[in-house]
Amino acid sequence: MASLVITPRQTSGTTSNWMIDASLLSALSTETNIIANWLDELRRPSPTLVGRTEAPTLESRVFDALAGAKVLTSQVAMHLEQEFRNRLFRQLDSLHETDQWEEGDEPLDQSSFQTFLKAILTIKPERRPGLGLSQTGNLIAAWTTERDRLTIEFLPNDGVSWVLARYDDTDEPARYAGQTSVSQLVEGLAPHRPEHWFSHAGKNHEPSR
Amino acid sequence: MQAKITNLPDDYHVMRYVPWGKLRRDGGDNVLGFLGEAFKLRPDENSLSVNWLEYFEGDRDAKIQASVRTFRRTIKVGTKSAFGIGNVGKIKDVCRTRGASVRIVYEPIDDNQSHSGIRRLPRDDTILLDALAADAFAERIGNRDID
Repeated sequence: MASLVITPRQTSGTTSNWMIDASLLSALSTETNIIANWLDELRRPSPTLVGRTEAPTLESRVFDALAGAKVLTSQVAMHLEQEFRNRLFRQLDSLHETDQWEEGDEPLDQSSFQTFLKAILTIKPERRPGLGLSQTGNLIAAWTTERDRLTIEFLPNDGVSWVLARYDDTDEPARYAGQTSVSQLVEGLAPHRPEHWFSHAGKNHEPSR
Repeated sequence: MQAKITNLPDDYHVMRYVPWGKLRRDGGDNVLGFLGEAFKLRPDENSLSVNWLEYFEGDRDAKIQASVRTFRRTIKVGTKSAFGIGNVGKIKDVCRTRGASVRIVYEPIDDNQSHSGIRRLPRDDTILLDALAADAFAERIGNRDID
């Protein structure tokens, strides 16, 4: 069975120095080839660094944000299912389509994304969230079960801000919000039975579109 | 000349542009509604920009189409974006439940005579923003749904 061969050019090399034997690419899994492509992309100089004389363009800032997110994810890849990672990257790419961009918004903040990864590894939700971005580039995750909503904004430096609404067969929902560190997120959500959003049991109750 | 400030009556409706990144979606990127972030003021904003729907002529569908076309003409509108429609009275009610006494005023600008603003909106009340997204702007029109 072919195996991934990553040869550091230098013993102290970073990911940008890794090389994959081209003859092996056809034998590698789809996922491995995706990672190989990312590494290839990352080896190229960032558009923000090539002949920069002015403020970076939106396209270059988006490129850097996505590349950074993929590197961060690769560092915890062993803890995330392949399907989850692939879907996450598609969601991030979709979020950063520049023709959908609103003027004044910031691309994904790397520190916010680190907080997101820590939270996902802690919560281990069965259901993938929908993703959004705040004006300042904080990642927002949204879980929706029928009319009930749970929304978490991942702040830089391990902070999280969450808000939820539960209708429980009434027209006036109970609403709660909190802000805490990512390490206390599970504890903070526990009184609100977050499995209502995180487990597959809730998936059957997604609202019709 | 400064335009006269006019409060919009409670039975009128306003429309808010919501870009793709602030739409509420499921894990498969299917659009379900709006995130509260879609109704958050920017640091340099004192009112939330909306279009007054009844400014436009025709039946309800014609008003919605005209408003969407006005947005397209005056700001960058992404193909995957959407528009939220809220009743003025309902928006004020939702804000009142959080102790916010907002004013929704007609403030036309040169290239958008339907432009209005929601003033005195708290900046960081996440519960209020989520309630606006879920309950006040309850109707969603996809940009792709309008010619």
